[in-house]
Amino acid sequence: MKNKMPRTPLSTHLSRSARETEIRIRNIFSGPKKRPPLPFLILMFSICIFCGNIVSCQMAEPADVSEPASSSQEDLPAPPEQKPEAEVREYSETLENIVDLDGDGLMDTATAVVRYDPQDGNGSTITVTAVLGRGETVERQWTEEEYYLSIDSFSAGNITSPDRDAMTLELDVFGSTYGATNVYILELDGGELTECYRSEDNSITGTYHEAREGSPLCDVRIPVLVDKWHNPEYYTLSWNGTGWDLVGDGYFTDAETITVTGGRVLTLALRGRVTDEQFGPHLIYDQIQVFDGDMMFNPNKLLQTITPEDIPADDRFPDPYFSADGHTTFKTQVQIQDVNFDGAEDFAVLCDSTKNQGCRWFRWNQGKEQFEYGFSLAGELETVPQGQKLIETCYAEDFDTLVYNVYGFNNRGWLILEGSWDTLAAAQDACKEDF
Amino acid sequence: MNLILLTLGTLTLGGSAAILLLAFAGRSTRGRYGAKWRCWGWLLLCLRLAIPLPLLPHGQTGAPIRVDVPNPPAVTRPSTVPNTPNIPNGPGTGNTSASQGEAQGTPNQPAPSGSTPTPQTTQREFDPVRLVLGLWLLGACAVLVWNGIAHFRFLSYLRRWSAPVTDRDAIAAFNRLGDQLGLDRRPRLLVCQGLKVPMLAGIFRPAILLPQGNISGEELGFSLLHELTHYRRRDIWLKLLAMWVNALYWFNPLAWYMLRLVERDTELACDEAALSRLSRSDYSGYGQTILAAVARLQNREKEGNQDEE
Repeated sequence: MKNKMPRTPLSTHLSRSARETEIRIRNIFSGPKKRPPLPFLILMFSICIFCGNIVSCQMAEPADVSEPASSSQEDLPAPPEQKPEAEVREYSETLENIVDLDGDGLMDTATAVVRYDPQDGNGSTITVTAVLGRGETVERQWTEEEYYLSIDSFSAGNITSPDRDAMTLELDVFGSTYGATNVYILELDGGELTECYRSEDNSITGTYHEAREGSPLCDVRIPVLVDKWHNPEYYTLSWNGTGWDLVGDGYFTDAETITVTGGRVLTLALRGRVTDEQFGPHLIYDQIQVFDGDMMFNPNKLLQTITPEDIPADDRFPDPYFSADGHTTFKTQVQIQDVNFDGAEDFAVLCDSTKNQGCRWFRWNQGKEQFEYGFSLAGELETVPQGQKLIETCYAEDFDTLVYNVYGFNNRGWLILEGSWDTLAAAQDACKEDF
Repeated sequence: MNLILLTLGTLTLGGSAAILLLAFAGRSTRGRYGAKWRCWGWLLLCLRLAIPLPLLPHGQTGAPIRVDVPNPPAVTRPSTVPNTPNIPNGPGTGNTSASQGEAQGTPNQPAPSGSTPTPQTTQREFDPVRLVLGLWLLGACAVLVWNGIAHFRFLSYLRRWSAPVTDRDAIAAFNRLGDQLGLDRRPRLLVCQGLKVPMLAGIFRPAILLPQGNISGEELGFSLLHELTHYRRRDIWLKLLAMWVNALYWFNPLAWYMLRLVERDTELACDEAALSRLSRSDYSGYGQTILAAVARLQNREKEGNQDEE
């Protein structure tokens, strides 16, 4: 038999090495082995999993560069008599070997440091240092007076050129109730770091980069405060080759999650915009989309879209819009409550700018897997599970006296007004008596 | 592109440290601790090294929910947003108003130098990054193709020279041991010409290969137990993973060393698992089986050399 069998790496072939054989024989006759102690296993397995973090490939920095401490709160001397509020604060973020600022194909490292010293009264000092791939170091430093700033995000992308990166630095303004930020875009120009954009007022935290369709460049998406009750409106900052374009989406999107039959979670995406109406609501929702799943980010399955035009005419609340004005007595813009006692949450949006605060209620239809418009009632509803009643609180025609209406459902599931009372207690008692 | 190379560099350095550490720890604790934990260590290390990309994105902010606008109103940023509570203005500039003209054009916002979105036509004369990346890919492909060819040659040999085992004793021992190991699915059992010692081979349709004729009795039982234990532990999959890692890090001698250690440790762990199903009195027979197999291999080598002469 002269066939020479080829070897495959995907087999358990026996080694003919005497050394390997000896190890195996020794292993056999040394008897059963123990399992290593758990801390030893955890250590070894952690090393295996995080081996990519053991070593970091980066350019050595020149010795004469005074690199700011990455987390300097501990490093900086603080006089013992100073109160915590008066301490020197320093924040830093580094983009390590992942930016190409000069477009030479070599990765550069950029570090942003923000320092605030209440003693010197000069506000915050921002220093951005870039160590280029060839070892050269460039730095830009400036001061923002009267501001206590910290770093919210520091990122890089092809914002102004497809060949080299620009950096976006987002700084939080300390003490801002709504998360005000300053956004700066910096790039390397003629061997110097230059600021090529800084945001105007009203930008808030959440700036990010987004790829521009059909272009090697990316845009910067900057959230701008609409009001404290709503999500921000995003503006897209894009470089057009000669200058900046800053264009708003024209809408903001509020999101709510709602749980329907069987614990299924849906996401309501409410598209809102500012109206030019003088006497109507200042903010409206012109569209409500229902997505499957609890997906605040990138929802992918749209179940239905509801617009104000879909709602049949209503004599009591005739306004053809969904109001998104924040100055209501409701806790949130969207009321979520099971109003028809079927175990699935329903929701309502405001449709009225009078004191009655009429709401359009949408009920979950499990058979159709959609929300259906049910009815419009005023204010927040009180549900009485015993007897399945709803108590509506609204103003009488004089808009001065409160009236409490009790509703029930008939066999077809239609809402039936059963009576009106002057006090809430009387309405509640009526519900109990009926039961 | 640079990111891949940098991650590869980081992983190869970190991986080398992990390989050395695991090898040292394995060597110094071999007498006390079983080889099974080292196999788990190799598996985790190979899994990490198998994807030469950073696992965590750097500084990305998720995009919030966005709804498609049928006819998006292209609204230029208004000078003020009505109903907006006071928040601190943008620092430093003194430009509290954001008129359209200022927003789009901009004496206050100096333009970035020189560049436009249109792709530039300037060509780079020499790009070392591309060269290194190309070399790395070439090496990785070469290792993969080499191993792939070896395996396909083996498979074609198997198709030509192997046949199902017909020996009743061997089949009975195979079934008994399969039941003993609780195997619901079992590899094929083939006899193969030219093979000197039993082995398990193949990924998707694995087979235990027995040499023709010269193995029986206790030796056959121990051999089948050993190979079925390999099958049960899915050692071939670990070897495949290690081979992939070896192809990616072909330039690193420690990756080749790791491949050898993986093979050794899988054998040791397999021995330990097989021995756990035998009584101590059988240890000697099991060891004798290994020695006999190695002896047969070495005899074959000598025969081969004589044939060549």
